[in-house]
Amino acid sequence: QETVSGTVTDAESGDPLIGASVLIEGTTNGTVTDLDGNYTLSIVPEAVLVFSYTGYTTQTIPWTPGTSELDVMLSSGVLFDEVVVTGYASERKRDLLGAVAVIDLEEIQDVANPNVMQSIQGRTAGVFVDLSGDPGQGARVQVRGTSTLNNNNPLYIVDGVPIEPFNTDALGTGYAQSWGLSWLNPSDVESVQVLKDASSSSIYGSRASNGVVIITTRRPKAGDTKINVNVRTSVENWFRFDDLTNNRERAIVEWQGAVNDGSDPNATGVYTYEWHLDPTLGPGIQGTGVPVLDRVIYPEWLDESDQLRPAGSPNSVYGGDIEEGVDYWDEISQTGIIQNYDISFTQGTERGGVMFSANFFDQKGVVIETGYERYGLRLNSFHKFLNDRVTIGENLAVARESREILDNGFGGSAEQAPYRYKSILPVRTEDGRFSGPPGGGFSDRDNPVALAFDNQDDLISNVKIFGNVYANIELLDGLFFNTNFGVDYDNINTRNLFRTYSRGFLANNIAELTESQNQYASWVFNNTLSYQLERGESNFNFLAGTEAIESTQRFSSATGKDFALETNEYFQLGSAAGERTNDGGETGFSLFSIFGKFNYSYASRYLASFTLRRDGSSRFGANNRYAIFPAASLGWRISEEPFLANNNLISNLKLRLAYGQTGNQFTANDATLGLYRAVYAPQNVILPWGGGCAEAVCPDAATAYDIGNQDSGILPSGFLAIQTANPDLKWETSTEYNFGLDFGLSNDALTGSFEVFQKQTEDILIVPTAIGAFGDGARRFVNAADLKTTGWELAIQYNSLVKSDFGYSIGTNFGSYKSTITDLPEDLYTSYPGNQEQNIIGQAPNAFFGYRTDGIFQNEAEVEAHAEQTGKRVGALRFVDLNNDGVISVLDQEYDDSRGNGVADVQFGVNVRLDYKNFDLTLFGWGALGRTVAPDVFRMELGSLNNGENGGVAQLDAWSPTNTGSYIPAVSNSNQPFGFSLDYNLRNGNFFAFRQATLGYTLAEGTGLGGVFSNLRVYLSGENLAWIVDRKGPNQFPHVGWRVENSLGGLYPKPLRVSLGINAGF
Amino acid sequence: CSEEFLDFTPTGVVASEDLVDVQSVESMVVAAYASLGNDGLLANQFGDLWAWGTTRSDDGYKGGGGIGDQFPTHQTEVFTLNNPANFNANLNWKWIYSGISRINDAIRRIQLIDDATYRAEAGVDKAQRLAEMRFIRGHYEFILKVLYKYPVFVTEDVPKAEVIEISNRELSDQEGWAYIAAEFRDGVNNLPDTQSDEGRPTRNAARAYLAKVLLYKAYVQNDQHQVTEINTAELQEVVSLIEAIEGTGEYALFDDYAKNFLWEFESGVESVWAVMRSINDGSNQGRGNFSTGLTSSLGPGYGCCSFNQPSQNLANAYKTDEDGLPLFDSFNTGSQIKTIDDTKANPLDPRIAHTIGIIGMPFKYDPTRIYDESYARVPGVYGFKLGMKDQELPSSPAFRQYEAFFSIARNTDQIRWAEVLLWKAEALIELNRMDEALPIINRIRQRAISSESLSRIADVDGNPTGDWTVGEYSTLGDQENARRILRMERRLELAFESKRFFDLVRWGIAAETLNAYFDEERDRVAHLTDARFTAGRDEYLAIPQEQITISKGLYVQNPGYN
Repeated sequence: QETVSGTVTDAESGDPLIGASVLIEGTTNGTVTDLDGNYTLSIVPEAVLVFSYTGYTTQTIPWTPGTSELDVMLSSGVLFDEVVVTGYASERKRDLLGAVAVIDLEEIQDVANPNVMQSIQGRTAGVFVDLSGDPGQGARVQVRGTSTLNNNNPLYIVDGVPIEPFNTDALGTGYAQSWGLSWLNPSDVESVQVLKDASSSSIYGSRASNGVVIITTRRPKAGDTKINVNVRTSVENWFRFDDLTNNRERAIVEWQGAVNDGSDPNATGVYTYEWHLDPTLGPGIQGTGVPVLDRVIYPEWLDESDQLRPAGSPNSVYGGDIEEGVDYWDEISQTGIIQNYDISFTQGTERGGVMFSANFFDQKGVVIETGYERYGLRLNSFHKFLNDRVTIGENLAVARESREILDNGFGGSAEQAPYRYKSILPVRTEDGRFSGPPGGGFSDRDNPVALAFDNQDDLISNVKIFGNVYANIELLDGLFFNTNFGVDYDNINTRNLFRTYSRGFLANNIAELTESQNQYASWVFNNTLSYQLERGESNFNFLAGTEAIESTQRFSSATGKDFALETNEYFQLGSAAGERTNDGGETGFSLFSIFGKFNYSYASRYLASFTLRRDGSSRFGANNRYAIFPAASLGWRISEEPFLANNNLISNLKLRLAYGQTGNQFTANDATLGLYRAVYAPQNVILPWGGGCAEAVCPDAATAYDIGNQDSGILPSGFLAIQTANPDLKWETSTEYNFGLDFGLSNDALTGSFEVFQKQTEDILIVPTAIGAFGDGARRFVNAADLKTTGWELAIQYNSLVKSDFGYSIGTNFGSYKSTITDLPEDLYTSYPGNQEQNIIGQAPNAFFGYRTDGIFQNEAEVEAHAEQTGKRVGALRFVDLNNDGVISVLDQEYDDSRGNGVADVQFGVNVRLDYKNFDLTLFGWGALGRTVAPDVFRMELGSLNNGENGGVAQLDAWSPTNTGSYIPAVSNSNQPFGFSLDYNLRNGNFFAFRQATLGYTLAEGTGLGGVFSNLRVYLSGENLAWIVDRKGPNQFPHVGWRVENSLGGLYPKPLRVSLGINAGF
Repeated sequence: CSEEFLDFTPTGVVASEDLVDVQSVESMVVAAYASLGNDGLLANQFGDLWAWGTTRSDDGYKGGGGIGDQFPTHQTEVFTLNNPANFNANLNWKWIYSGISRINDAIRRIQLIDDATYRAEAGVDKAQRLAEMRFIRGHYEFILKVLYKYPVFVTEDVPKAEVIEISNRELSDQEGWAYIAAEFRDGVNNLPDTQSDEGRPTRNAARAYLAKVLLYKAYVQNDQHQVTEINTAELQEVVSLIEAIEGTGEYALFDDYAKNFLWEFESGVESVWAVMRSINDGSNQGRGNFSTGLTSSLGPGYGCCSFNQPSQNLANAYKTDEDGLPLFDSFNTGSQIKTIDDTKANPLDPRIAHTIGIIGMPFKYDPTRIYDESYARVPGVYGFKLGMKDQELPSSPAFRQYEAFFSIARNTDQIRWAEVLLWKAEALIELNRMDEALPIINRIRQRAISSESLSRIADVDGNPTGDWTVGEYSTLGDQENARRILRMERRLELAFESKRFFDLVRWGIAAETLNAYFDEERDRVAHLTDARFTAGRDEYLAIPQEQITISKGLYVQNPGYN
């Protein structure tokens, strides 16, 4: 027997490849390369050698007898030879048959996000990410858009351990799913893959219908012994907020509103006006002439007790200009600072390795008194035993996070608060206390600065422990047994304190502290057997396994009232002198699954894959506890056919066709049961805007009553029905078809893929609205409603093949989907817009339904000629009488898909990378086309919902007898189109965001700088640099650019961020 | 293994079959009562019906932060924006049925226990508990009836799954009233004369509520809500029921009108039945009255939100002639009551000073607290007045502020004796027994001007804050005149107690009264510019569109709504 030996190296760098596999085809005889990339192998005649290495193109070389030395160079970096984790196993991407997205982590490593999911926004087709700039906030991820009418979050799997979405619980304790992966240090992440279609995700069965995000953390590789240090500092600032009216402008708008209504502007209680009517300018809205404002007189004091001077008034202890007043946007803003440090130690040999990392992330938010902090540790290791047939390893992460986030307190979000507090109000009173609304003429909203200040000691902190231990045993050649046990543990503490205060007419007379604790503990235990077999041109892969998951949640909270001192230190539950109340509960669920997968390929040309999973869930009743989720897919690698074998242009061409079913069990843990509960009294008063519980079937309504008229003390209490049983409840099922085409041209310089899919979700888990007369306990989970989603995705990547000092690559991706509600029980019609004649069926879940308007009444003749419309008058919006019955009523509304349905026609990302010598430059942007948004035009243009608030400068441009060209209706206090769904509110939401630019310089690589550093790179990065907004057409977008991304309001805007960082390896 | 592994046991909850012993059933009765206290700011406003009974009448405006603030109530205030999708009308409907379902649940459980066991373990007769439950169910049904005219009557013998099969037109208008009357007749027969728990109704409370139901029933309406006849047999029963109560001597008028509106005197001699409220009771914010949680002024010590503001028309209605009798036809012209200067310059019924916060006047009986311009929130739209009857001073132990909102723990009177007397007077007048009605009305008027009542509203030096003048009638005149007197007296005595709109509909004069009111009032306040009452439609709310849709068209919409 002869031997052959040689070295396997990287084709581009010439570096030896350590641990590369060398195998004699059709046998299990083989070896791996050593630390220098060398191998030696016994060989027989007519052997064919297969050289493979993770992430490199496999080479197959027939051995020529007599050859004893064979050096091989493997090429890396080709998209189609990546190895992809596809659920309990890995596959070469070139063999994949489903739609799987692989995120290029190198592109995002310099981004100063604490959460890896934030960074993947726009990076890959069909994965839609919304994010907020709130410190420590996460990202809302939707794979292929909307799959269901309940929760659309994907399933996250980190190192084989699912992260449990806890916000389903009946306890409703509000664990923020969007925080998601914030605990996970992005530098620890090796790969992120998204299983987009049902054929690839159905191996995860019952919880995969929203797609699966698979994250693998870094593991040591043989010979990989080094220390890596990353240090980054960022500063950030908000973009300028929408311009709010200053004090003088507010006075003008209020005057205009009053004179338009024909009421006395001097009755508003704040400003005094000198004005007159000028009939020579025209009749005006009231027909008596056009009002002309001569002078605004500001009051000397705003309150009765003479403590509150108008901001900037000449005698104020605070300076400023009375015409300007206070810019509350400025007052609540600060420059944010982010610091990020992480260090990792890696040591790996062929027999095992260790990776240890530590990280610290600290963010001071761009809103005062907000911030986020995280520190975490990770230890990943593995060891091989028994002739390398047994591998035992673990991955363990411990992280602690703390968040100071702005409450949506009595002023709304950070964005809304400045809108709602007039600029005439100084931040502080003459004696230095915070100001508050003093009385008539002011809204009931609080001082934004005071709100932020009150927030300073509120904290949400959590400890996360997440990890797994695993063993992989090669029982026979090609037969592997894998066992994995993982835990996911969270302990979240919330500290919320209310100090006493008196600000204007707002007050809190009782100091209060609430401490609450949520514990989430889950474990997963899975075991798989896999077997690989080759017979001639046929290649078989079998996988079978079981998985058990159990998850529990405990919640408790305690409130104490009345504190002698109001310092953060004194606020402890034990120090409360007054009433004490508490709350608590526990819940959980379990899942047990059996699954199998079979892959077959013939001659690498014809591919087939089948999966089957049977899941059982504690959430469903005995009648429907189990469900089966199948999938099948076929592929044809046309480029492997002989007729294309010598084609120089087409390097890869693959057709894929896939079908699969997946499930969703997003429902309450106790959803099948009929339940009664003692509530005593709700934690919070039921507020008119839906805080607390707006539904009559409120599982939170009190059962205690002062029946003996004792007035205080513990009351008698009873029980109320909270839920009606449904033992037939079952899984929601999605059936998806996917057609894919992968291609590579010119030796894969240009690669791409195209996908078309259709997904039908049936038996959606929902709680229909019960008939009102049913009363308590009407909550009942049922399977009803169907949703259809169709879409396509396109990704194209070009990598220059120039091998000199200069290289570049360009990648683009496009994703599009459209969802339609195809069936819905009548009980749910009124959960969607509609009227007596029209309903949501056949429309997108967020379809626009409402009135059509066609401009503004310009004169009395137009008003007279128009149909009967409540509030019609000169300067008002004209509603179209769609049914031509001469009256504008609720029947004059329409579904109009052309006006958008909240979903962009296309979202796209563009990614450019340039390398020149030691410089690297990456540019990234993303955008959306065919998108309609509903910005807060009431505050911007129409005057706010409440009188006595501030508003946008656009109100100055509203229609008036002297400004008849405006599209904004006349300002009014008594005649605004509140409560009407109007096309007027919908605006063009097309945009392109210049999301990121990074310039890096590599100081040393390999043996540079005296061999101290294996690599040393510095970089400067900018994020959220600009927004291009399409402002053409009649329905302009009225806000600053960044708002187009989160125009629904409430979200903390994404700041402009500049970072300076260094990566060093030793 | 896997079967057990997948079994789920819920925690902290009970199943229906756990709640069958007497003690549990008694607690289910408490939970049914507790629904009375689950009213809220607007969307579930049934403890105090101001948005339905005052705002829709000529007594008050919605108030608040502008027309967009709680827009559904603006819609019902101006009527032209009334539609079946009104948010608050739907939620209010649902919340009331939440209470009814608790009652039916409790009744079903009571019925499963035999009489002797119940008596032995609960200390009361089963029949009494059942009558209590029917009493509060009748109370809810009354509210549904005056709001929606054709509600769904759900009894305890309908299985929950079949509730959806009951139409809102199983009973005609008159049958519906008869059905509600039967609920209270059960109370007249089975409730005790006294109850140790003040929150539970007595026999007299049932008599009073039955009288109220029969009074409404007596004004027979046609399909267009017009009053077509007045049924004298029912009116006679109203009179005899109230006479029976009078015979027990249980109730009387307070010497001081103000005591009806102060926590210190709650559930006193004038209170016939009230919803119980409490504070510092182990709940986070107290089981106070949240129905009026938005009606506070912005004055010192208060918070928000300045809803439920008196109309100028109402303030003017307190004007009297030199003899202290109302200016029936001319009150709304001439001088307008806006400040203390006006109250001093015009002879005026002093009940205005208990009802309306007026610039320069003491607020809520505190002579050192002078009402001023800063109390009202958007005076440019809704003027400067605020209601006072539902308020307490911030210094009251029953007052609770939570951020900007507040509640008071004063029990919410559903029926007070003065109103019962006025029902009797009304029935007598319709029965043409004017002589018997006259002393009742005069008794109410005497109390309005009693020295106790007047001293309550004096200024800091004890001097009067207005030209208080209330005279007694020497005669009610003919029936038409007597009606006019009775109706004015109800308005003055009960203003801002959320009765007015329902009175106007009962009397069949809502359209004429309100359209005349709008024609004058819209020149004073801009928010009524487009207000107009459509007779035959606006007397009642629409059956909520959501309910009609879910009933799959089984429910019939009220006339005039599409």
